[in-house]
Amino acid sequence: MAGPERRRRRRARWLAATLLLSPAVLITGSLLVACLIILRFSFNTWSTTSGMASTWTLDNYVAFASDPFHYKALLTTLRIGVLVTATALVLGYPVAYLLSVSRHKHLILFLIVLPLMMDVLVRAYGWIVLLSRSGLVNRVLVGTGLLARPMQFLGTETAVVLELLHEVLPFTILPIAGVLQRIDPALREAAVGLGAGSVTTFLRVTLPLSLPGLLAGTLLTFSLAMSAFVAPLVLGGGRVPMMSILIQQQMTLLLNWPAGAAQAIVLVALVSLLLLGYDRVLREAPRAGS
Amino acid sequence: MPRRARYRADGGVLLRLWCGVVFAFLLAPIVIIGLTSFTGGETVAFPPTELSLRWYAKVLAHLADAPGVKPGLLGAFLLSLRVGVVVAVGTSVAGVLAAYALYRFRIRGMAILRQYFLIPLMLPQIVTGIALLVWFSQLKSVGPLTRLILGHMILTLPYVILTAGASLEASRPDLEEAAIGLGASRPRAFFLITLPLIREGVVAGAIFALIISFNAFTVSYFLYSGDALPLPVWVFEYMAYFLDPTLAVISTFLIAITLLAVILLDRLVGIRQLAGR
Repeated sequence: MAGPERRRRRRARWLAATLLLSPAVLITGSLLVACLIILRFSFNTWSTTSGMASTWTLDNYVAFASDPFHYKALLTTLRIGVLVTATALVLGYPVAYLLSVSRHKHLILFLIVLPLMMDVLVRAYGWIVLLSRSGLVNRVLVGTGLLARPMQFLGTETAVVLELLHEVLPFTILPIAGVLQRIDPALREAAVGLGAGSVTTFLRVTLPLSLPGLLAGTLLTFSLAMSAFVAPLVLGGGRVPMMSILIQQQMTLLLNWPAGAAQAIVLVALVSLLLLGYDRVLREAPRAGS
Repeated sequence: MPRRARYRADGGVLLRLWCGVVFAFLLAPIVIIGLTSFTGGETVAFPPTELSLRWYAKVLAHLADAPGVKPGLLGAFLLSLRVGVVVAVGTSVAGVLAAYALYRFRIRGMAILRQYFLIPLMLPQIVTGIALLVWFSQLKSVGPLTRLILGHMILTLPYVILTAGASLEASRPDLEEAAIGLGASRPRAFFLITLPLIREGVVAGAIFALIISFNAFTVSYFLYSGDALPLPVWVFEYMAYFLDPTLAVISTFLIAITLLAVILLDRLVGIRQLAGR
């Protein structure tokens, strides 16, 4: 008697789960469909005269790898990614540390989350104001004698890096702080009790234990910096050729969708690899931290 | 133990100084916009030579009709608001239903499905933007407003599922079971017991969705049209012609809205939830 009853119940639960999940599955699924379409388009050919033709060819990927202008965009993206990530780690680690030990956690979190929630275009505009020829940065640099006359920041890699740094810093700080918070304070106290100074305690206890958070923060920051669009578009004025700018120009100016699609797939592949690593590191982090 | 006194978990002066510099960096663009909006000069030169509210007056004039960009500022703001509200309501319903199944049903495969819903967070937004642009161009019947709404729903759904899921995990499932044991149907038990229990998480998710939709420049950039021009794209278009302090006024206004929203979210679910862990 119990068998059919249990089976009926299980079927009812499956039906309920399907009904509850279907709207959300469809919403996210539409993005997957769209991604499959650009994956398919990336194997098509395109010419200025006849537009797109349906084929199965790797030409777009080969063109990307062999055209110096294109693979240089990838190199520029990687270079900016490395620079931004390294700077964000140096700037962010101490903040993550302060966040994990401070009594004013709430205030510090607020200061980190607030810029995160701001419209990215508003932040980019703020950087335009700061970096313009008559802006605060140039005023200070000229005023202190570091520069003889105002420098052109807008449209340069410096401006892109600064804005990008501002975008990614919260994402660098939060995973590191998460891992630092889980370190048992007794370990640090034990080190001090055994005669270690604060620098030794940090280098031998805190830093090694926080490595998973550091790695997770690195991977997340790097993936965000690589997919940046607003920074090179607004602060770089399209003159700093990152991958996103290349894709945007192919899709909206040149209308060469197969080439743009192939470049987008390359970017997705790179970023996914970084994020899979991030996921893996964070999942193993609690074991390493305790 | 003299050494013990030397060790400061709170960090020394140097740490505080370093963090102060980083916070100054994080807040600089926000503060500068607020200060610049009160300039009396023609440009965004800093520091302003005189203070005035003339750019605030200019923004009022731009509300209906601005040079360079059609439609006016108010139209773009209202469109963003309309899209944001539809997106917030739509994703909240879809997200809460999904979170309930994901976090309360013990069925194999749910762990994989949870990962599935995080895909929009993993894709670079520019890829989401162009993928939807290409897909919608194949579907001629989808109007510009629907495109924006669907695009923003895709972006915001993961956040709603995560906040609702966190609230569900924190609330006790046995209360709902008790209601069912006392004769309530499952939907009735959900609406009378579980939904009020996770109310804060649901409202926070909806506000979160509204903020993200309002700020979703990258995806909107590839999906907008003249009939459906959201506020961030309006700002971008205006920026292409003018960099005058009117943008500082508009930005100050947006900053104030975000500040209120963050405070509200903090009251509802705590800032920790926003920080992701």
